[in-house]
Order: sequence, then C-alpha cells, then structure tokens
Amino acid sequence: MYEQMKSEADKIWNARSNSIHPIISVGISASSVSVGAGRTLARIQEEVQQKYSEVIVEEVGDIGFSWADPVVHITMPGTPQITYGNISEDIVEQFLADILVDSNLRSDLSLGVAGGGEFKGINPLENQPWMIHQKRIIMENYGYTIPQNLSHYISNGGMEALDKALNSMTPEEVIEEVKNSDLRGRGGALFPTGVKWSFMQNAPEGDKYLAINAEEGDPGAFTDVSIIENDPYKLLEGMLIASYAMGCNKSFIHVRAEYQLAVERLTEAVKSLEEHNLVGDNILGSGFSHEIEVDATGHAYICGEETALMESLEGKRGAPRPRPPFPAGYGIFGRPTNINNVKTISYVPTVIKIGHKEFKNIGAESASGTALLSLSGHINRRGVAEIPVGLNLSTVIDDIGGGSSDINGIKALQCGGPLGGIMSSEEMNMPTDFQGMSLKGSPLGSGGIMVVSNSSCIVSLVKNIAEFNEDESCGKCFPCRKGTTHIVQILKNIVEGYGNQSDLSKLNDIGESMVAGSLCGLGQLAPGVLKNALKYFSEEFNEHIDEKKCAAGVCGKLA
Amino acid sequence: MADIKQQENLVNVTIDGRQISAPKDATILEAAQLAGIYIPTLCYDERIKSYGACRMCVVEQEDRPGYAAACVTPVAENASYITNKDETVELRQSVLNLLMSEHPHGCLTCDRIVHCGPNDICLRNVSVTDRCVVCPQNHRCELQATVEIVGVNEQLLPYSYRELPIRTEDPHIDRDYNLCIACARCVRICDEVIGVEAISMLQKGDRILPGTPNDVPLSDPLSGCTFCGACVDACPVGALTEKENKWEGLPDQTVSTVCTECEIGCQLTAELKDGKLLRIVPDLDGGSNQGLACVMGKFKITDEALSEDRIKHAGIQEGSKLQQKNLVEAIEAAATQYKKYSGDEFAMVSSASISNEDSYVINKFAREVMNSNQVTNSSESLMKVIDDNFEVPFSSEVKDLSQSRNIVFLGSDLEETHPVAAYQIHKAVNYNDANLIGIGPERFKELGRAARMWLQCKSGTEPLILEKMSHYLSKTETPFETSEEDFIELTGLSFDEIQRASDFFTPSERISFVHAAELSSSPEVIEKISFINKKSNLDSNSFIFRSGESNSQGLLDINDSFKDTAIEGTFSLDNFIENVESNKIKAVYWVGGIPDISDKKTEDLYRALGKVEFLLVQGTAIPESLMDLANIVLPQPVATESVGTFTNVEKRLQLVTPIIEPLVEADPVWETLTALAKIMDRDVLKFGTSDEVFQELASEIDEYSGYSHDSLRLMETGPILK
Ligand SMILES: Cc1cc2nc3c(=O)[nH]c(=O)nc-3n(C[C@H](O)[C@H](O)[C@H](O)COP(=O)(O)O)c2cc1C
Ligand code: SF4
Ligand code: SF4
Ligand code: SF4
Ligand code: SF4
Ligand code: FES
Repeated sequence: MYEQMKSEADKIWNARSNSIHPIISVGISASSVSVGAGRTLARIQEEVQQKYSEVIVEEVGDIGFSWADPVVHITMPGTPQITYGNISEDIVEQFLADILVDSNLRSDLSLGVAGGGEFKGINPLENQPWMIHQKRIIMENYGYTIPQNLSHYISNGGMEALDKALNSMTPEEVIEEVKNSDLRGRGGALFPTGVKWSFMQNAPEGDKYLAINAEEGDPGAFTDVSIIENDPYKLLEGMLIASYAMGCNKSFIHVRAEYQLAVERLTEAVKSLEEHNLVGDNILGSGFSHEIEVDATGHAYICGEETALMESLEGKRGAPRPRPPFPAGYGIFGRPTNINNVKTISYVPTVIKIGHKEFKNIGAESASGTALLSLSGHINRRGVAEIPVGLNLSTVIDDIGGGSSDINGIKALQCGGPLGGIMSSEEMNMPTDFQGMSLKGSPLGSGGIMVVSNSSCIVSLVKNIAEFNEDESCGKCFPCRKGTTHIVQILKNIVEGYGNQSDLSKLNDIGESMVAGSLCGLGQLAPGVLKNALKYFSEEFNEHIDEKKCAAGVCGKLA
Repeated sequence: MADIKQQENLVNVTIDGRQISAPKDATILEAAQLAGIYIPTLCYDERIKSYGACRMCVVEQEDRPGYAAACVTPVAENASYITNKDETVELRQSVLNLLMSEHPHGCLTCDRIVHCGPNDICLRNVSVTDRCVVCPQNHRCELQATVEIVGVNEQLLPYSYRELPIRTEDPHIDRDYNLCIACARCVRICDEVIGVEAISMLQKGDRILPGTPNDVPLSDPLSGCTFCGACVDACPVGALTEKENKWEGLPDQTVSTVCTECEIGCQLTAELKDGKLLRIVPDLDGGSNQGLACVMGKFKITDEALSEDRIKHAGIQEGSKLQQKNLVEAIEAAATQYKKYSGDEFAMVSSASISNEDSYVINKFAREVMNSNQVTNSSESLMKVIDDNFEVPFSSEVKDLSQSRNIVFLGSDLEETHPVAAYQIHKAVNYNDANLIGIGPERFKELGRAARMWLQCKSGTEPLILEKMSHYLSKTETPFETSEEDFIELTGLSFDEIQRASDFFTPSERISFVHAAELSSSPEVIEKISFINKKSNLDSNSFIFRSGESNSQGLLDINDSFKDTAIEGTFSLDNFIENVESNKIKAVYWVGGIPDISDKKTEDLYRALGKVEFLLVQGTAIPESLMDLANIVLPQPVATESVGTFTNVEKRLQLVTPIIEPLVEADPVWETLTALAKIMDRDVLKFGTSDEVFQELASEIDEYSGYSHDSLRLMETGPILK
C-alpha cells in the first residue's frame, strides 16, 4: 500500500524535478508575507502571465531566513535550484528579466545554490555561515516542497516511518524506540517523551486522546507555527505514529485561530490524509484507525499550559486544572490524554526511520536531537534555525544569527520566552543546551532566543515581560493573580524614579511566594526573568533606584 | 466481608505525626479533617469540586520538594504530611498579604476588631470602606477567621479599592464585588450543582471577577438565576449577602428545621435574633439536601405565613355572610353540628401537605369519633398506585442520584417541582460524568442542557419510548410489539434515535430512572413504567417524584395503618364526590385548599361541596370560592409556626420546628380535633402536645416506632424508615 503511494508520489516529484520549464517558487509563510512575500508572489505571477508563459510559479514553504524575506527560489531546466533573498515586489520585474531573458544569474541577490556544489560563482547554500552549523531534521523540507502537497512529502521520505511503525512494529516497540532515543519534550519541560507515552499504556478501555499543543504563545517564538505552515505532514505523521503507540483513537491539534495560513494548510493536509486513507479506518492496511481534529481557537497564552489546553479543547474557559489527576489518567472529557508539543511530535518520524541509536548520535548528552530556535531581537539574521543540541551559543548568535544588529553590541540573551530567564552576554561561550542554559538562569524552553543589545534597559525589559505575565495570568490562583500585579506595580515605580531599596526585597519575596505557591507553571515560572535580572544586572536596578538614572536612556522619566 | 472490603479502600498516612487511615480517594484535606486537624482554606467548599486556587491549604510532604495544595491532592499511601512548618505558615501569610492588598482589611490587622461595633469611632482612622465592622459579613467571614488563625499582623503591600458600584437591584441578593476575593465558589456552585450558570468568572489576571452575562441583574432572564441562594451561602466573604436583615448582625439562636414546600424536605438551619428570623442556611448534614435548597426554602420560607390571603380568624356563616368569631365559639358551633351526624354521613378530606400528627388525628377523629371510614387526602389515589406498583418507590436516597453513572429522566419540570433533586443530577453529570438522557416533549432548561441527548417525543408517549429503550438495554430476545411505523407515528421518534440514546449508557453500571411529577401524576403511566421495569430485569433504581405536596408519603403510611379497621376498601376523592352526589355524605371536615386536579374534576368537586349540609374548612389560605361554600372556617398555623413531623419522598422522617412567632391565633388540626371531640363528649382523643400524638402514632405504626420528637431533635438528620 505504502509502496504504491510512494511510487506515485515519486512520479509527481520527479516530473517536477525534471521539468523542462523554469520553476519559480516563493517562500510563503505568515512571517514572509508580513514583509511582502505575498506581493512579490503576485508580482511574479503577473509578470509570468504577461511575459513568460512557460514558467511555472509555485508557493513553497518558508526556508526559515526571515532576515532575507521575501525569498525566491529559481530552478532553470537542467540546473540546480538557486535561492535568492530580499526580492521585494519592486525589483521583481528587473530580476526576472535578468534571469529569464538575459541569463544573468544575479549572484548579488543569491543566498546559495542547492545540491552541495558551487555553481557559476554561487556558493552552495549549505556551506553558508548561517547554514553550515545547522542540522535540519524537522526543517529538512522547508522551502523545498509545497507544504500541502502530500506527494512532495512522501517522495522526500515521508510516511516511510509510519508504514514501518504500523506494519512492522508493535505499539510497545514504538514506545520502546522513542524511550531509547531519549527524545524529550520540546514544550519547555523536557520530559522524556517515551516515558510519558508509556503512562497511557495502562489506561482503561475506551477513548484515548492525543492533544497537540500548538499554542506557542511566547512572543518571539515561531518554531511550532513554522512546522505547521511549512511541513504540516511531518507533524501529522508523527501524530499518527504516536497515536498508534499509545492506542489513541483521536487526536486534537490546538492551534491559534489567528494563524490563518497555518490553519488553512493544516486543514488541507488533514483532508488529503483522509482522502488517501492515512487518516480514518484501517490505515495502511494495519488495522489501526484514527481521527484528527484541528481545533482553531482564540488565543490566550495560558491555553499553552497543558491542563488549560484541555479545558479549552472542552470548550471551557482556559484555566489550569490542579494535577493530579494527570492527563494520562483524566484528560480531555475525562479520558486518558497525552499532550505533546508540535516539535516533540515532529521528531517522531525521524526517530522511527533512523532508529534510536542514530538519533542519539545527534545532539548532546543532556538531550538528543536538535533544537529549533527562534532568533529575534537585536540580531542580524532573525528567523528559525535548527541546530544540534550543544552547538556553541556564540556560533548560534554570531554565525547563524550574524551577530548584533546594534553597533553597541550585545548585553544579554533573554531565552525561553516570558517564563524563561535572562543571561549576560559574557556567558555566551557555552553549549546551546537545555540543561546548561537553565543552570545559567536562562532556560532555552521552547527555543526562543531574544538578543538584547547594550542600548536596552534591563529594568524596562523586565518590566515589559512582567506586564506580559500580568496580562496573561489566568487569575485563578491567588499568588499569581496578585503577585504578577504587584511585581508590575513595583517595577513601574522603579522605572519612573519612585523606587527604593526595600522594593528589591519585596520583589524577591513576592517572587518566592509565586514560585512556591502558584497552581501552574505560569505563576511558578513568571518570576524567573526578574530573579536572574536581579542577579546579573543588579547595578542597573540600583542605578534606577539610588541615582534615579537609566544609563540606556530608555526610561523616559529618568533620562 | 464488608470489613475486608473497607480495609482495601483505606490507606495509611501520617499528618503532623499522627497516623490516620483515610479512604483511598480522599484528599489530604479530607484526611486531615477526619482526624480533626485544621488546615486553612478559602476556596474550598465541601459541596463543590475542589479548585486549588487560594493556596491557603498548602502542606509539605516529607522528602518531597515544594508544596501540595491539600484540597486537591489525593493522599498517597504511607506518605507523611506536615501542615504547619514555619515556612508553610510564612507562605500562607505572604499569600494572605497579597490577597489583603485587594480586600478592605483595616480591621483585619487591628487587635481591636473584637471590640468594635459598626457605630464606634475607629481609633486608627481606618476609612469606612476599609472596615470589617461595617461589613454585613462581619464575624461570619472566612477571610477574617483565616487571617486570625494564620496570623497576619501587618499589610506590607499597597492596597487598592476596586471602586465598583454595589449591586442592590435584585431581590434577596446584594452583590458588592469590592469585597470579592475571586475564589469562584459562587460560580462553581451555580454552574456545577445548581446547573444554572447564571454567573461566570469574567476577564482574566487581576481583573478577574464573577458576574452575569453583559452585567445584567440576576433577575434578568439572560442570567437565568433562580435565587436558590447557593452562591450567597458559598461566598466566604461579604461580597454576596442576603438583602433581608443584612445589617442585623449575628443570630443569638439557631433552630434546625425542614422545608415543607415539596416532598424533598430540605433540612435547614434558621438563624434567629431576639426571636426574629434573620436567615436560613441549608444544612450541610441534611440527609436529602446536603447543604442545598431552592428559593422556597432559602428565601421564601415565610411567604406562606405572610401571605395576604392568610385566614386570620375563625368565621361562621350567618345569613350569607361569614361572621368573625373567636376560636372557642367556632369550635363549639362545629361540635353542635357534627353531633347530628355519624358514620357514612361524615367525611374528612385533607391536603397532603399536613404533618403526620395532623393526619393521624384526622384518621382517629373520623373513624373513632365519627365512626366513618371516609378519610382521604388529595394524593391518596396516586400514592396507592405507586405503592402497589413499586415495592420501594425510592430504592435509594435522593443524594444517591449524584452517584449515578446512567440516568434516564422522564418529564420536564423537575427544576421547578423538586429543585434539589435536579441539583443532584447536575452533580452526577459534572462530578461523575454521568450519561443523562432526557425523554419528554420539551428539552427543558438546565437538565436539557446537561443531557447528552434528549428524546423529544410527543406528549404522553414517554412510557412507550421507555419500553423500547429497556428493550435495547436489556437486550431481550422477545420482539417489540409496536412496529417502527406505528412507533414513529405515535412518538415522533425513530428506533434508531432510541438506539443511539441507549448506546450512551455505560454497560454494567446501574441505570437510574427519574420520573418527574407531571408524569407520575398519571396512574396509567406509573403502572406502565413499573411493568417495564419488572419485565426488563435491568439493574436499575427508580426515583419517582410526585406532586408538589410535601407529605404524601407520611399520609400514605398513616392511612394504611388504619386500613385494618376499615370496613370497606379505600376511599378516594372520586368516592367522596360520588357519595356527596348520592346524598350519603352530609357533613364534611375539609383541611386545606382545592387540590391540583383537572378542571373537570374541580368543577365536579365544587358542585358536590355545594350540596354538603355542613362544611367546615380549616386552612392557612383558602380560595374565596371555597370559603363561600363553608359553614364554618377555621384558621390553621403554617408549618413554620408549628411543630410536627413530615415523611419525605425518601421516607425520611423529619421534625419540623417553628422558626417564627405565630402570626395568627390558630390551633393545628390535631389540636382542633382534640378539642372538638372533647366538646362532643367523645372522650377518645387525649392529646396535649404534638409529641404525644406522635408517640401514639409511633406505637401504632411499626416503621415509626422507637422515635419521638425529642429523639429526632437529637439526630443529625432524619432517619429513613424501612
Ligand atoms: C504558562 C504556560 C504556557 C505554556 N505554553 C506552551 C506552549 O505554548 N506550547 C507548548 O508546547 N507547551 C507549552 N507549555 C508547556 C505545556 O504545559 C506542556 O508541558 C507541553 O505541552 C508538553 O509537551 P512536551 O512534553 O512535548 O514538551 C506551557 C506551560 C505553561 C506553564
Ligand atoms: S499560576 Fe497564574 S496562570 Fe497559573 S493558574 Fe495560577 S493564576 Fe492562573
Ligand atoms: S442564586 Fe442560585 S441560580 Fe442565582 S446566581 Fe446564585 S447560585 Fe446561581
Ligand atoms: S463573590 Fe464571593 S464566592 Fe464569588 S468569587 Fe467573589 S468572594 Fe468568591
Ligand atoms: S427543594 Fe423542596 S424542600 Fe428543598 S428548599 Fe426547595 S421546596 Fe423546600
Ligand atoms: S482551599 Fe486548597 S487551594 Fe483553596
């Protein structure tokens, strides 16, 4: 069954690869569209319609170079694909004329060439400083395939793992394989995924659910949505394998409704899986049946917390439930439920395909595999990158990220979103590693790294993050509801010049009560950035309080 | 056997060094409570699911980092918990400190709080909005108590008053959200137990507060509030208060009594001050209600006493006018009349909302003083049918409904007629994931919302649907007699729909059939239902809720006990009408108003009553039309003014205690009849108190024996009679 699917997919993919017509593909994602990729695409389509009717124009996934968007790839018949950056709509006409009419490859705009070798003076893409250190497992198809196109996915190795799991492995063997791979949850807590799945094995008869957490509410985090937008089948294949292993008959994907493109592509992908009987009854003839529901819901940060996510999936107000009972015992509608992050599940096809040994070879002692990073803030190359866990953090910032975008240099890294932490740039010479960075007070969490330059004020930054947490606290439990408010109040006083030293101990006390007393991770983790800022940047706080001075000149009243 | 089983369900834990064995699924808090160990709580309420929000109940578990909220964390076998380490107390103090920054607390941290009254001048210049002594909840506030026990001496964080308008536009309930601590107890009880969802937590973060949709008044249909008052009783602080007697302070006396508005018989505590009723709090120990009540028991319990239609004086018909008389005169006049009649010339009819004592003396009077067996009450015939068809109509207690996993509900208006039973169904759905299927012409209100599926059928075809359903459920081989075509024609539903509804039920678990009053008022329906139940052999229990009359069960028991002495068979309202029409019955003693019967029957009844030679009517409020027919009218005390026992739908024997001073000079029925007999020189009734009546009754009726008013008074809740 799978073989037939694969050979049909190959036909389609090969026809495309061996096209006798030039192919122009534009990387389309919410992020690229926000800087004009949509207009670039429209311009190209217009030009092609008027002048180059033999040319094929395609919408492909986003390759992850937000800094170079709009990104356009061009494949002339018989030559390797060349990737170009910053193709704004106003240069489209000239750009196409140069390449299609004058055979001028425009190496000035090129980012690199696919295939590994140099081509007419254009360097291989994979050797570029921002690519050479990356290890793309999840992102392997980004920018190369049409995201909703199932044949593209299958022909590039997709669904092989599903076939392997369903038709030659028992559910127990799948769980064992995932356990041995040491895959850990990428939603932030790094819980061993296989172990979590095994909690579902003892569940009683009846409905069992898998819920995919695609809330991704951290500002400056966009890896989960990038997977859904650019290669939804990766996630879906992982979900099917996971569900088979745990015996789930249904899964839910909780995704923010405002991610329109993601919801669209995901829904289309699910539909095409249904049409090909990869979702439904007796999948790939294995006897395993499964149903997938895409739940596009309004956004609330707290809905990313797993118990609030379940409440939200039940149509209730998104507020965390106490644990125990744990989801594996009492989850959605009281049924056993396993919740995983999008990234976590997207590794699963690879784990099954290459086996736990090879998977463990990627990454570091503390966590196998790769880390998907969202690089943002004062950094030259913003975007999504995938690195082996343990790659040096300076390499990430300087080579992949192209260093500081501010001539004053980097002051700090704020990692893991508003519930993460902050570290001084002096500590950057260390492995990019979940555990190690936690110890430094700046846990990687779900992969967001925000670069903070020397022009920024730490107190004001901490205040902004505290405001975010105050807004997003669900208000259910008393320590977090009141604590987040008082922290903001005190920080506001400090940036406005009304602070005094006793405020620092108050901040500390409130933080401690929140960590010890809060019901869910939000309240427990919210004081993290503050606590580490007080540790690494105490002189900035003292300056604001004692000298009523903001050296960065950010806090208006103190300038 | 039972012992072993019980032991299997127990776990051993240590709390503060004490060995405790607690039920396996108990929380740390419940285990501590069992052992009498106090753990502070604010968002906990035993009537609803634990929530884990206030974090007052944090405790430490030995050898584990961090804290566990005792109210939501189940005990772990052999674990050891410490509830009062210094660090734990400090954590509670600091959370209280955070909380007090949003709650007026000027008095909370002042040691003069015990001395100050609302009108005293504050020595510390605490502003008025910040004082406990001017809060209606002063001294019954859980926050006050918690602050005192946990010990918070100074408020370190800046306080901000919310400055919200106080909502006083509703009847019964005032809302001052400036005092709200956002514990959601009100919202949770309204949603999870009452099933109304009149209020919900709005906004998030520090702006979170309960409220109605669009902020409408509670009385607006959009909120749907039924004024059951559960939210007020749940509120730990002064945010929700009762409007009536709001500023009266604490009671000086509490009295345990029972609501007689319906046959659930909710157990209530009445709080009195200087003999005046301040408020009603449903009893947590109440056997049938467990701390719940509806608007009748909570807010309207004195309505009957205060009714404008209340009969205030005795009266004798002279000419065509009712002349006001004193009681003695009226009773003497009645005696003179009744002496003229005996045997079948006399009949007694009462409502089914009278006490056991009244009913017992009614029977004695008719049978032994007047030598007539013609005694009946308005629920007699229906109760007979139920009694004949179901061995035990209530195989369980009302509260067992909350434990059901499968519920079939027939009818519609349970929320109206027996609200607390509807609450128990909501609990089953919300706390026990029960599958609720409704059968009835209308998908009604809250139960309609809670139902997994509603079989909306043509009126009166419920039994047929039930029959088809039990056919599916019990998987009987015998063919179903009605063809699908006929079935659709009759009921408006297809076999497939019945099958789908049946498929919701968890096989292997007992099914509860709940019959609402409007269905069980038909004897044919009752017979049919019982037949189906017997035939299907399902593991099931039935809950049959009947008319709005609160003592149908007690009256059935008492009338039954006199059946041995009965010369003829039973006597019903129909027999009564017949025998008046045939001029057999000439003198009548009528207790109560006109029963809730069909229009046609009411007409017949009035025609018959018009023919009676001598008619005495005793009641609390009597319709004008009946008064016009009466020769003598006697007032009657309402239940809240007199003492007596009632037997509820579960056959629970309960003592009703007066909670208000009598507003009318009136003797209860038993006392009136005793006096009447005496004047008539038939010295068979020798009762001095209601308790004496009860003791004789108890010596005559097996199930009631062994109890007395005094013994009932000492019991936590009324016993269920076998
Ligand atoms: C306030 C809060 C927000 C969270 N938001 C997310 C989120 O957006 N996405 C996510 O995957 N996990 C989020 N988490 C973590 C989840 O609760 C949960 O641990 C995770 O989904 C488990 O998946 P994993 O085992 O694959 O990591 C959040 C946790 C907290 C406390
Ligand atoms: S910690 Fe904050 S977000 Fe979590 S339950 Fe408590 S109030 Fe809500
Ligand atoms: S009175 Fe009853 S119905 Fe009304 S809001 Fe309160 S709990 Fe809900
Ligand atoms: S009104 Fe009372 S019960 Fe409701 S949330 Fe506020 S404090 Fe709690
Ligand atoms: S449910 Fe019945 S007994 Fe209970 S308070 Fe309401 S009317 Fe009274
Ligand atoms: S009583 Fe346990 S958290 Fe409120």
